[in-house]
Amino acid sequence: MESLERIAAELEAGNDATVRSLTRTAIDDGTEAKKILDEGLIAGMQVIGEKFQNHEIFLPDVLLAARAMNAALELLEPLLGGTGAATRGKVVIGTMKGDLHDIGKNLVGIMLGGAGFEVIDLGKDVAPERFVEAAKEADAGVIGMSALLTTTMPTMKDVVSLLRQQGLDGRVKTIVGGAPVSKEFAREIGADAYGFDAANAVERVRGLMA
Amino acid sequence: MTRDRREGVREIDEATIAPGPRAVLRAMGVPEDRETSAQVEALLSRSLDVLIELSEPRSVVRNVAPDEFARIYEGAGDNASPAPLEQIIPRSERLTLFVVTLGADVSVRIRSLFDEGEPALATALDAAASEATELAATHLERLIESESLRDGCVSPSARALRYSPGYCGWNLSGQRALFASLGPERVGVRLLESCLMEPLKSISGVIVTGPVEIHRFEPLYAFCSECRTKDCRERISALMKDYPS
Amino acid sequence: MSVRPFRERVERGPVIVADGAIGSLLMERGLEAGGCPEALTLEHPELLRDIAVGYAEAGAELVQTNTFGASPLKLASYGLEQKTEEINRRAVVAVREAVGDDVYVSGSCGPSGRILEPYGDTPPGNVRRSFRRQMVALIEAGVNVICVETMTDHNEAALAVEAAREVSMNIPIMATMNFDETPRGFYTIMGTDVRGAASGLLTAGADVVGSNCGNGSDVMVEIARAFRDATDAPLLIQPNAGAPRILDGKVVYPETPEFMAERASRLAALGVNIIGGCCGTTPEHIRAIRNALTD
Repeated sequence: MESLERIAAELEAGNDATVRSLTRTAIDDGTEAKKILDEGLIAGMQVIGEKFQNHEIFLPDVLLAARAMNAALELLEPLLGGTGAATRGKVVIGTMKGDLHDIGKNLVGIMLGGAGFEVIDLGKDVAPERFVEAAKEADAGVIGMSALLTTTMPTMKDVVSLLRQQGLDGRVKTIVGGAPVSKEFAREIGADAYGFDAANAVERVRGLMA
Repeated sequence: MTRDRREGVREIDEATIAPGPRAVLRAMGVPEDRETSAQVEALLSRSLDVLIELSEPRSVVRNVAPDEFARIYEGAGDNASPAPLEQIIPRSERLTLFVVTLGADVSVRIRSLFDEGEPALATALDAAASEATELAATHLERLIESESLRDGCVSPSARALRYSPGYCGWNLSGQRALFASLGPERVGVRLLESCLMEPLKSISGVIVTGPVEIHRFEPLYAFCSECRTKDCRERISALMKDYPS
Repeated sequence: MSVRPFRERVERGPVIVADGAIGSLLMERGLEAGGCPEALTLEHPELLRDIAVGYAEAGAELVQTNTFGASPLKLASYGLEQKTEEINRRAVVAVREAVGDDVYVSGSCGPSGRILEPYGDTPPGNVRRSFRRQMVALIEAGVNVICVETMTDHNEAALAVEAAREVSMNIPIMATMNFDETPRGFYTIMGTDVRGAASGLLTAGADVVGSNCGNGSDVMVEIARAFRDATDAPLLIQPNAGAPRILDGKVVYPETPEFMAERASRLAALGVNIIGGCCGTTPEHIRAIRNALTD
């Protein structure tokens, strides 16, 4: 539908107000809220994620697009009802205990939201047990862990161990990231995936949820 | 700008450490040749205005004798070896422990901006604050350098360069000995158990002042392959520019 | 975006028709005389949407935001300085939501209300900082162009233009001044002539210069002529609908849509690039102007 394509295009340009007005028009025209979300907003954010990965656009553009998407979501949320926007799955994210860096994690959360996932953000300085408890409570499919301090990376292994101990490692997958983290480290500790940046993390989470 | 008379405590004018918009973009991963939209430009301007409004840059410095620094550097015994400082320290003429911070308010605002649904401004402010902290540390380098030259306790060709725990083979755990010796709590900076500093936008280390030649080294050490910043070559050659070998 | 980039559109032509007055329309819809028009943005954004739609439907290709008095220094006189960002942003959002991206949204920025040193008590630095705050908010909210208008002091106008340019190297900037007709020629109340205004504003970084307010269409045609003699830069002219009169206790502007439309043709013939209306103009005036220019 042409107007949904326009919504996607305007998202990329970061025009909050235009995206909102087009969304409002689509709602008034009788387009189903879920369709607007999927084919307009999420489709648009997917293109943005791809362009970001291909270095065609950069972080500021992605963030302005995310802001534009939130502006439109405000209009759609009441219409999406109890089932909520997220049908693609739930992801618990946080920064490891002892670590206060959260910019990277925040970006992952924003892009996961843009991709249609429900994100439970535990914040920073999160103990291993809390990751696991939160995943159980929310019935999340993925735990995403971020660390910028080498000294806090070992606790990522604790989360993987806890999941195994409780027999959850089949149901709840793990993905790790952060500047000092590597693919090798992820393999060493038994994590299911490694994301080298926010866009890559989203792609990997999609794979884990499939 | 008030002068804090406590020993070694220095306040820094926030206007002198404000990064340019291009530097903030670079810190956000945007390449130099990339044109930006008016909206992104306005975002950067706003982040810089907020940065200046909320920054309270302060620093504390303390000169130490080489043997005391050797003990601090030894720390918990976790440093990599060989490492550049092993060669540099013996040839240095002044060693100044330092910590510089932008204060907590900026970090608090960054957090609340994320909570308020302003991720673009939060990220830009975070990038700007990181750049500003680096500029503050560099500003301190130049300050110590000119003071040392003025005091006449270093060679005429002396230049200053800083090193921080967590880089160049100096293990992050070295923060503990550094903090014990310097007392950065005086300017509101504390060390967490994970050796992270709070406020987050802080830099600590040693400023090494000595004949410009002592600062030259090649990044060919074992730990260099894992280094994320890799700006040593740039900083060393900037220093060398006035003194061609 | 479905509109072409603004500078390109101005260069290619044909004449861009801008919107008319919003102050009088706001008063018709309930703004009290002496009240703060910009405060209305917070309480009744739907009024701004309606007005923008009205002008867009009348044929305006460029509509302004209700931010003429929304610099922090000006808002301070209503005690609203701390709402600067919110007022500017919401004003832009209201108009953009109403017209989408089919029309250019122009961020209006008027005088600070202060007199600059040495003639008055306000340091230029304060005025510049005040404009900067407003420009950041307007540009971030996504205006297509900034319009510094109804200025009488060329120093203040330059500060506003510079503030916008400092925030963004890219944003198109228009700057217009309010001239008086004197026996010696056209001068602002602070003594700037057309040539001085043109060169000063272009040097400060404006892309488009000209005049708005203060005069009816005939005088504006002469002012336009003076501008065209002074510069090749793109011109913006927005006349009042004549000199206001009081009729039965109400302010009335005498120029009819047909009258203004005919004068608009003369402006176009002189090479003016953007034509709109200031005090007393209505969607009917704009419709007539648009029709006259499209024939």
